Amino acid sequence: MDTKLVRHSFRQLLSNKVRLALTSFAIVISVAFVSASLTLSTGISDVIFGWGETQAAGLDLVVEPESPFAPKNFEVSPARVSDDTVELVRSVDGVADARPTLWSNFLFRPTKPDGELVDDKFTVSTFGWVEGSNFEIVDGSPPRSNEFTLDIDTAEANGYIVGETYDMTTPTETRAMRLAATTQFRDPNGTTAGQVVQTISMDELQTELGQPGYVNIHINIEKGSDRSSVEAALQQALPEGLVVLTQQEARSNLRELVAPYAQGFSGGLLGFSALSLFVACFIIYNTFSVLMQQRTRELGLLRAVGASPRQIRTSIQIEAIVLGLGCSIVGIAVGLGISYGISEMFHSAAGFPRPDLALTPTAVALSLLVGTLATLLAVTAPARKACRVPVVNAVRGVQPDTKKTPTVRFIIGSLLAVAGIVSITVGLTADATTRSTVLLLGVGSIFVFFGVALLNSLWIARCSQVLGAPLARLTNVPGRLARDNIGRNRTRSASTAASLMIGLALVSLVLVVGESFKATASTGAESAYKSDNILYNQWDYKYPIAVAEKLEALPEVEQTVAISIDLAEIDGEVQYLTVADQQTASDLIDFDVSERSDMLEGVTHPVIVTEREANEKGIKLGDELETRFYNGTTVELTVVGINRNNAAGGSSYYIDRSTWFEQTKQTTVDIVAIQSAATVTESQFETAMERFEQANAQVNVETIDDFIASTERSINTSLQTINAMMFLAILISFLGITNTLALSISERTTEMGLLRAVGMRRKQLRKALRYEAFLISLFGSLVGVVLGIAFGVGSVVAIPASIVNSVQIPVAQIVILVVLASAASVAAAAVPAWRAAKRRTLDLVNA
Amino acid sequence: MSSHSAIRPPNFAILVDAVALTLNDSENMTTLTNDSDLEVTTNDVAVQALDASKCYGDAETLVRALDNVNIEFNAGQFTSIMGPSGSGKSTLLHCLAGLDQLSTGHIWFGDTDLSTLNQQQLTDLRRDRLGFVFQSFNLIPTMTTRENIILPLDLAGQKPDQEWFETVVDSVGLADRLRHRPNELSGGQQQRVAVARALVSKPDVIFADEPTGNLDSRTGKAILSFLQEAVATFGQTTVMVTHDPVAATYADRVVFLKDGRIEDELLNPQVDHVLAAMNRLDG
Repeated sequence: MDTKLVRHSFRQLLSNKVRLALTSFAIVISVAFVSASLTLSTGISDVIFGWGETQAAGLDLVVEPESPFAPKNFEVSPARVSDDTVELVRSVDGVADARPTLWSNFLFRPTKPDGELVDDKFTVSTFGWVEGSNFEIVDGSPPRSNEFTLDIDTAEANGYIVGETYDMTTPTETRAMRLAATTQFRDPNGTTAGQVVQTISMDELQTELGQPGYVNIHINIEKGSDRSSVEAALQQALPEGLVVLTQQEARSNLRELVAPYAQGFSGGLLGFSALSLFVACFIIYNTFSVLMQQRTRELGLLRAVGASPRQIRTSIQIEAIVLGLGCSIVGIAVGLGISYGISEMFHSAAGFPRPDLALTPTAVALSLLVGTLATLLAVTAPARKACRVPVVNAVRGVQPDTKKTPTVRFIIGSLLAVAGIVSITVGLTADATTRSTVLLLGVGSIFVFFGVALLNSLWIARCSQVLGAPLARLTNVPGRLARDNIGRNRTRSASTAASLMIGLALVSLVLVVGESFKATASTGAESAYKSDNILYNQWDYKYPIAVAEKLEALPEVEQTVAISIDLAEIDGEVQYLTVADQQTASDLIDFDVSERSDMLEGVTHPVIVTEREANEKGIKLGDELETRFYNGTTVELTVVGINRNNAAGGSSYYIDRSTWFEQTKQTTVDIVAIQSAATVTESQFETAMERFEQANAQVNVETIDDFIASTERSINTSLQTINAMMFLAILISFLGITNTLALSISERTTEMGLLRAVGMRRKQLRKALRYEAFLISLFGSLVGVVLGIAFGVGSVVAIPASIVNSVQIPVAQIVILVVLASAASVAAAAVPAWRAAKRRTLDLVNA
Repeated sequence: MSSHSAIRPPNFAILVDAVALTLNDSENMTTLTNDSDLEVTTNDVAVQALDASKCYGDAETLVRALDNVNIEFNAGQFTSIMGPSGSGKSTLLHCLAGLDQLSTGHIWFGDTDLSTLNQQQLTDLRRDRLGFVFQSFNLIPTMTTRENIILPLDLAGQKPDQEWFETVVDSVGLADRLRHRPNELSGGQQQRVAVARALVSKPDVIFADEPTGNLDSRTGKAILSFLQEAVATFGQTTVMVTHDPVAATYADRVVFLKDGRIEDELLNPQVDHVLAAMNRLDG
């Protein structure tokens, strides 16, 4: 019996190919994105982790300085291990070889034989050459002064020839360097992770970094000696502040360092796939609700001849499982294609290495599970409902009364919405880890969406009366029919609108947050500087302070102020910190120090705090702030001023360069504010800056306005990327509109026959159906936009004011969004409307 | 006669049976008999089928739903079409009403040959010149009684003639139900709304397809009396398909179809005559 029932329900499912295709497409696309996310994140994690593995390969122990937290740009890799320490390690019993390492990701970029920079998008890693390291020479000899080596892949791909001389750019100059050798990793699994990897002589790298010393020491122990006893001996011999790590620990440390990059990436992708799956669930739910309703009579007949509700439910569930499984399999295949597409996109846009994309068993299993479960979940309610109809009514084709339980809907909907809002509020305000914040926000917004979707069914009829009033007045019958038809199955209209609502809510949320971000960034930059130009590194890496000194030496430049932005632990909390020379900084940075202590003279470690931060933390003039730097040193900073211009300096705390250098020995800078000399014309200054940029290929000098524009451009790019992904969810919701409309039409065949018989033209019928889709989507868009704006404003308020401090609602963009969504919904309705109107009146009447 | 008359072949068979029916009271109707020597009137023909044939299927499975049917329906006349299942009575109605197309032959609607009209012209013709009453599902569920009644006018973008609207609504007894929706009306009330809708545009012909098929006999009779009254009061030409001999007798004339051909015809039918005619058809 059961197999027969299942076979029967399949025949039903297959009987309408269009409906099946639309529903399947929703599942396929969502699963495709789940599987693409998993495949891509595995592939990309492998690339990122592979780089860490490569560096940890072939060594037994590592000695490195302790760090309470990672510095802002870990690629700066401050050198804190001295030559003495290296000698000390070498003298310990059991140590066979100790190799100091030093690297930088920002100093050197070679030009290719054709004169272009070798890779202007992705990282160039430069290592100091050490004998016995995990580099081995393929062809050539180790680099001496004014020489470099390149990884064999880059050399071959770009046609470098060993022995030739190439231009090497540094932040301060371009010099000619000879390619001494090509290299590869000793470790056969070693990977450059898509980077350009070069080595130069250790002396030269140290000189360029402006500090002696190394990042850490790689150790191999003597054959036959016990690793743990060597480790203990090392620990004993070493001064405080240095730790000994096993290869395992070193590897997991490296992993930890790069994990946020991999996690951020895969987390984002998974978020988008969850979103599309969520939206798809609404569509599957809708399809099955209508299918069940259409089959009420037939299911009633089956029950009348003895099928139990359970048998029927089981047969529907099996149907869902098979549909879900089938679509998931297709989805996994499509997902593989999507992941190739995305990795190609990343490669061409950001130079990101193409990862090895292979379906892992986990990804396959998870995709199948997720797709099938989502489908099963979506049919549960419709299947139960279909079985709850009394047999007598079912046989007579009486539809279950959907208007019966508005109070229950209201209560559940309100509870969900309130629970969601509470969860979001807690997530935004409470001091929690990133993971739990994201979880609270995610769960909260899903609750809100579900709650509002339920509540929507209570007011969609009334709202469509209002929204449809102008249409009804303008077009009479078609407009009225469209307006009133929405109220006929409010649950279905509401869940169709819900899928669009979610998409538009998220897009407008992103727009509000992005726009506020932009406004903050540009007003910040505008009000932060008194200078007319600033210099920064186009790859966002730090560069030597020598750049600022070279600039200041130019006759066209009046003055420069070098600014570094980094991290420090202030009063137990890791905070951003601005470093500049306190004697000259206020010449070019618009500090508005309201109270300035006259103690400044006697204070060795002064700090100026923004008014906002001071108010928030209760900091007063003269307070001592316990501050720890990433290398573990600690000082007491004395508050010597409260700065009323919160935007100035780029962070809440501003310390003197002497303090920073004393504690970290670092002289790198992020931004240089430049004031042109009064004696030169604008064009003279511009020419001088262009010349400077040519000589220092890695830096950009821009006017404040241009800087704001390029900041906005980069924010826009991220917004567009995020919204492009959201577009998928919106696309699925339009499929939902097509699907729902097609199904509603099939329910109203006879009615349409009547309309046609009494004289409704095809055009009028098509209009009525298009308007119906339009009104549903207008409702969904408006609710979505309102929710999105609310979420967006909430987020902006919750994000620390030091990051975003002004709420901006991009009204024009949101209006365009709603208009586009409405236009798209009309397009989505076109096919079902055309199919319905095409049918012969007599066929409709007789249906 | 119009210019079309020149090309319209005369149909003597029908002319002989054509009757003048100016039925202003029911008395008059009951006195009319089934004699064949009734006076031939000069009444206009509202709708007419000429050599109408309708075939389904291909050569092997050919079904002739209508087989060379010639029939006229005079203005102001109430005609029933009867016949066993599959006799072609619904097909004839659908073809007369422009819902279906003939395989061969012509339907003249007044001066208009339906075969010369395109889909939109047919739709507009139905809207402006025809009224429909179906067996069930006559009303749009989302519309009120009033909106349902004036639907054809709304579709044409016309304002209803208020006086006529009130007359129609009063005569169907729905004045206090105008704001109700179909699910708040009984089956009989729903059919009365359908009749009112059919009347409101002052159509040339009302086509009714088993209008009482879904009603109990008392409600059915009320609807039929009402249709009859509409014919009598407003001179409304009406063509009704039915399988119910009692319902058929409300008409002025009964046409009997079998296997797509007109087999018989009664004027001023009585139930026993109709039953006898049906028996003859079966035999």
